[in-house]
Amino acid sequence: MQAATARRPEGLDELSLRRAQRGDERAWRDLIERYQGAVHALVWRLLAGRARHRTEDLVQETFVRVLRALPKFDPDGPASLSTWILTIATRLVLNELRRPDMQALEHEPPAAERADRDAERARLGAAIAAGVAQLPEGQRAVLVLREFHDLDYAEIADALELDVGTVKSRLARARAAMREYLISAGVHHA
Amino acid sequence: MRDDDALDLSAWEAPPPPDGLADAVIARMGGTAVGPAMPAQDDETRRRRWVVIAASAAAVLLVTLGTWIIVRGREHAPPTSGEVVATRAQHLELGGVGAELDRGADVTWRRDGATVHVEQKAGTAQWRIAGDQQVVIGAASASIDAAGASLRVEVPMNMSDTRVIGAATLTAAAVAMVTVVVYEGHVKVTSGGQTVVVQPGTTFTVPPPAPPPPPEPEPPVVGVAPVTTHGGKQLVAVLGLETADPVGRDLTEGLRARAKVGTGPYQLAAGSDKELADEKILHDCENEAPSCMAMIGDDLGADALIYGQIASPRGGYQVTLTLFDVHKKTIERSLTEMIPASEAMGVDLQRHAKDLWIKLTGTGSAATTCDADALEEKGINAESTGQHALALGQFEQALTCKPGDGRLVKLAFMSSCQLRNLGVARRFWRMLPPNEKQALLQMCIRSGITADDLDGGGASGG
Repeated sequence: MQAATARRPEGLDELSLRRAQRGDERAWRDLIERYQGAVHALVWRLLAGRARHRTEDLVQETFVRVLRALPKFDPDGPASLSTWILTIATRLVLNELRRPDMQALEHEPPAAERADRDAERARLGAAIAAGVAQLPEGQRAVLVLREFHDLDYAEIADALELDVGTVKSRLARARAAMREYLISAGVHHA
Repeated sequence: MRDDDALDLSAWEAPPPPDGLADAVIARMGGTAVGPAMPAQDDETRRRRWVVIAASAAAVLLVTLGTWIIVRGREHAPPTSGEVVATRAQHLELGGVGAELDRGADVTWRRDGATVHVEQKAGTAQWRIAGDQQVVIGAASASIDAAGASLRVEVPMNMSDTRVIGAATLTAAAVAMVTVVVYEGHVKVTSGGQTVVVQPGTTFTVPPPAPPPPPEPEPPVVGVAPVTTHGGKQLVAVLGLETADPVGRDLTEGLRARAKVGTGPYQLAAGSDKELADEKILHDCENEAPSCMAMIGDDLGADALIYGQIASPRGGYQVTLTLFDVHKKTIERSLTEMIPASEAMGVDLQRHAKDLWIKLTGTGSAATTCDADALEEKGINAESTGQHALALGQFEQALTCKPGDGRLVKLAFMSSCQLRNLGVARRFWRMLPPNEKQALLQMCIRSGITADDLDGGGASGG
């Protein structure tokens, strides 16, 4: 399942990681192909499914930064490679969202593209997209990292440079807002 | 771990990433130093890069499309069976199953419905298998069963083995360990009657098969061998020379072939054909400090290491080799030699490999009057080019230097079968260890000589 692999990919084997850190192109390719699904999904969701061209640009930029910073990544450090890469992607997107020319995104409708098989699920997906899009950036990031990428509170706190208490409170507010939105849209069965 | 107040948001599925992402990223990394520096880019620069990448991609797409249209006109589906020996890195597409083959990879395949049966005889291949496809890869003593998976299979084997196996069925002792790296999906590895499910993100190594029981009982080797366990010989690991040039790989294989012959004080340690660069990475070695090299040697179960580098100044290759004693943690010998570019391939390169081996290990002096190694090498080279009579002559001559040598007897037997010389074949057939006869018989059968012919005492040819 694509969704499953995109949540939190398995780690790169040690030798491939070391090769990638030394600039081995084949190992770079392995790394990108392993994590591209998760990074693309994260960026796409943080942009609430809008601005497809910016999504691809930011995914590419994420991996360029990952590869440049990779020699400094410590495999024995507190963050897994997966979390470290998702952190870079998250910070990059949040920085981009603060750019003046990205403010216009707020007025774009969420992406309508769907690949779902049944109409009910499609409607629910569209409602979730719209609900996530109306969340403040900070809440959206916490919700996406938690709900879609399985980062724990401490990892989210590190990624967003927040304390764990703030992560918990933002997550609670985001979930409450989403629940309210989905009920109002008539798709949430609480 | 889920939270009590978690929502089910799974209906909001993200689209898949765009194709060619890795290519685009690596293209952007090209020409930039790998390091922590992150120069700022303005939008204009990015836009220009996108234009260049898009233009390149469009050109490639057009060429690919044109090629595809031409090819499709000739064939509508991937072939159901085939064989490839990659002379360079190449892609193999089998419809729902794809492989990136490294140079030297030797693969045969046969499709049976949704299952592809592969025999990966040598080399490295990275396999990608769609969810509705199944691939069963036979690699040395292992069988790898994968579906909806991405994995890398490494079957190292040296050149000498490849040639011998190409001419006969001497497989068991020749094949080194198999390494399976699973990136994603469901992969099972079966070896020695045991099946292991290899989880994504992990590496599984299948040890080489146990050698056939020797004609005379020897004490078993258990665990990591201490000094001198192979008939009084030290086990040596020849690490892949550090160079990006293919000459380095060929020279490494040549040195390993010498070690495998085992005529000097050294014998190749099983499963030790690793790259110096990789071993240094895995052992956190910045250089070839004795403590590091000793650690590498210990892990490989070797008493000695041979390693080195190749530089390629104008006109040739400068080879630096070191023989390292793992237990004493000292360099026993080192040398630097120049190989002219005109001699950096084929038989010439193997001759250099042999000379370097002799100089480094000091095995040459005793063999100046009757050099079995050299004769064997000539015989193998002759056999690989179909000169069976010449090969047989070399092996027989080598046997005069080393009477009764098991390896030479096998080689001579195989050449005599290729030559369809029943009389000579019978002579060597009688000298073969009984437990190896059946495997070697296949060569003769292909030449029309049966076991009855070899066992019979009737008319003899040649």
